[in-house]
Amino acid sequence: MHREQNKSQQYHAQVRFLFHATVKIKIPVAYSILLLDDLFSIMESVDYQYNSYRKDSYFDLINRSAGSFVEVDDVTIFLFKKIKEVASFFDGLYDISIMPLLRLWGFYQSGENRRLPSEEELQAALQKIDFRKIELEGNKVRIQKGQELTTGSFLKAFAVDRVVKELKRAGVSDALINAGGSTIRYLNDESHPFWDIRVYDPDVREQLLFGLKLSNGCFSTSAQKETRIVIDGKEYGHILNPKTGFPAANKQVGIVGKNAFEGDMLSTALMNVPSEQWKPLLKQLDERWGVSGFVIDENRKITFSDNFNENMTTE
Amino acid sequence: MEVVKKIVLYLFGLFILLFGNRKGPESGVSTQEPNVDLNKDIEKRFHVHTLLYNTIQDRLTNPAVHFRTERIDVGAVEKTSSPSKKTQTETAKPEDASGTK
Repeated sequence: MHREQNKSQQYHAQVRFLFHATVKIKIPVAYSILLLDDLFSIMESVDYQYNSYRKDSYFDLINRSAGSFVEVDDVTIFLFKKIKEVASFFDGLYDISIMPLLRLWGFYQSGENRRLPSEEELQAALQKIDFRKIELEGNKVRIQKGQELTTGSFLKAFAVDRVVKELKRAGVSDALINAGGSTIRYLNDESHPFWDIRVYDPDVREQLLFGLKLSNGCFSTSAQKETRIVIDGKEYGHILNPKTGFPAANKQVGIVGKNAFEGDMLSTALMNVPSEQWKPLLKQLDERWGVSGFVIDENRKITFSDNFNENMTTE
Repeated sequence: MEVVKKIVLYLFGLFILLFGNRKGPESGVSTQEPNVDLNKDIEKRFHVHTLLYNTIQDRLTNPAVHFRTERIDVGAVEKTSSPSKKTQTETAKPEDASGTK
């Protein structure tokens, strides 16, 4: 419906602000610009229906009804099942019920009166964090009183996957979605066999670390780079460890996988895994989810999975 | 034998197509008029508007009172997503990854 004529290597690119991030979608110029409206509408729909920061979304209703069951749709149940699978694999190092901890650190309030949480406050917040206490019963979900969920670590990526589904349905085989730089999902065909992705140093702005040549998948990255708060002159990143309550030690994680939703969750979880545990863990991740990746730890040591450098370039 | 079987099945299928889904031995299209006058008191059940064609302005107008969409100024509204001022044309240039969410 949207195709006009066959042109290669040139794209319509449009940028919008969604999920607190700059989202760019690129489609070949052979397709109508109107397709971009459809694609962004899909992301907006996901935002309205599921974003925990949107009033009356499913996750917002679950949060406001803590202690009671809430009837939700099939997509919400699907999301919870996948989230619990990842959370279970990482034994709680990934946990979407981490919102009380984020609030305690002051990530959702003004910078005034920010201070380091006390040990008692941390323990009190950690008591509320437990993905195992999220109950699923048919099409109903219940969290415990005092718990609060956040969709910040997966929903944008899920929306990106929905866009890709629509792109494929529309017959588009060469496209790219760059959501905030942390989720880059790409489609390729014979005319355009790979996309170039640039990975930058988490500590030195605009310092290129390496390039990647990637095809038909997703690059997901998490870092403590820019979303930080300052307390007593010291910076603390926004990715918190659900078990210790403190910001994750690793500086950056990158994952190359099949889809954005899994990649986003995995990259967030891996921020809390010490780099010395990476090699054996990445083998398991490859077998289970078909991913490869790298981590830059607090000492700036980079660890790659065995097959990751196949994608790397120096450009 | 196979050929006979096929012919029999074909004829059976044709029979079902022609005479299936009937209400009984007196099958056939009923020519009896329905008991209900579907157009009875239609004005009471539907709002019927008569559109007038203005030959000078070359448009239809509806003189009856009806609801229509009006654009009103609600002031500054935080939109879910704001489209960029224009769609740009780009090449397959490298994309920058950033770890911020």
